[in-house]
Amino acid sequence: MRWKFLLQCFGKRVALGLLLVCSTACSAENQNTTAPQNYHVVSLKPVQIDVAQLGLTNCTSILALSTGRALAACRSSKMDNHNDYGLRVYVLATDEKSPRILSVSRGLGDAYAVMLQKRSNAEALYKDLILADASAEFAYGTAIYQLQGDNLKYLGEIGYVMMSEDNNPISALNVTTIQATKDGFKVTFSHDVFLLNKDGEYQRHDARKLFMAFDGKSIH
Amino acid sequence: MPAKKVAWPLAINLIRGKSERNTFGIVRKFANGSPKPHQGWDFSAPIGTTVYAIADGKVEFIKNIGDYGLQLCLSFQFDGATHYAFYAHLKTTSVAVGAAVKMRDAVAATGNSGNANTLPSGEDHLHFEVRTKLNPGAGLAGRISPFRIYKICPLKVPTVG
Repeated sequence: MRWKFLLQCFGKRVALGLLLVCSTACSAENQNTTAPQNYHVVSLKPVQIDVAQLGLTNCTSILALSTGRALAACRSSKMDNHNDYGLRVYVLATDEKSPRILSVSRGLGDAYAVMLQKRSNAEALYKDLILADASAEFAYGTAIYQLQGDNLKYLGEIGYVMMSEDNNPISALNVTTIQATKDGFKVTFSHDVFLLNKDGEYQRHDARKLFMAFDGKSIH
Repeated sequence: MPAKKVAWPLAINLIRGKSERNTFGIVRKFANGSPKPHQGWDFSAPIGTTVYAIADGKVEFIKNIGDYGLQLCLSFQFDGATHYAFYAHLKTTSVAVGAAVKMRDAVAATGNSGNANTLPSGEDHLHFEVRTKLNPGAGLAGRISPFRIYKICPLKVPTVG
């Protein structure tokens, strides 16, 4: 039907050209639906919010998440206890006179600083991920949360880091790719990364042979 | 010539927060409780506290980079071998690279450089390591616990330098 219609409208040569274009486009479209879908980094701008009234201090990151919402990494000594302490990730409502806490993570332990990043994939089962990249005197790795509405759910941790020129563990976020899978997501690296062993030393891992997966339960 | 004695890096030396998490070893935790190493001792120190050479030695390097911030490394002899005293999160240094220093010479002032500036007030400190290599590996590699040279750890009670 389509062939006959094109012949009538455009003549034999043009119709053939159009068919080729259509065929290439359709093929690419089909490939996109079957190939793994990368999460993309969502650019979030820093925002000024008076979080002191919430008892939050020492924020290392406060970002505008969407209209009336912000994402922050701050401390709250009131929430700390022996097993749950340190910087926490917060989702804040900022659309009223005073900000409100909508969701808060467990403490990120002994990390001194936490940088936040949002990665999204509209086609994925876990559409919005919040990455909390932590460090003290050196990079600790990245905690991953699912952002569902205004709620944060801890999914797991990526312990892999890069190594700086002077041999210090640094963030691996820039070489980390996350792809959607049927039941979660897969994490790969575009550069060799390092993982702490039980003796407190770092071992190199070949990026070509390495991936982590979240299967709906944990990252492993 | 081996150092007969090693001095403390501060006039008053007390582990930050009196917490084992600020001593040497795999003593720290991340989000889900996963263990993380700490490469030295953190001594409580208000910003501007004088830092001393712990032994006769030589200033090997001074640099201001990364999460350690302003760093100074001093070589010295201990137990018949070259060791390195490494001080980090400094505010200023008062010696030059290559300079010979005497034990208890003032070499720097504490600060909160690197990412220590994100810690709550009252958590300002000197990060102090004893290294067996000038440029050790990552993690605990090429480092020893300062306990090995001091034989005590001022975890709950301060030690006067």
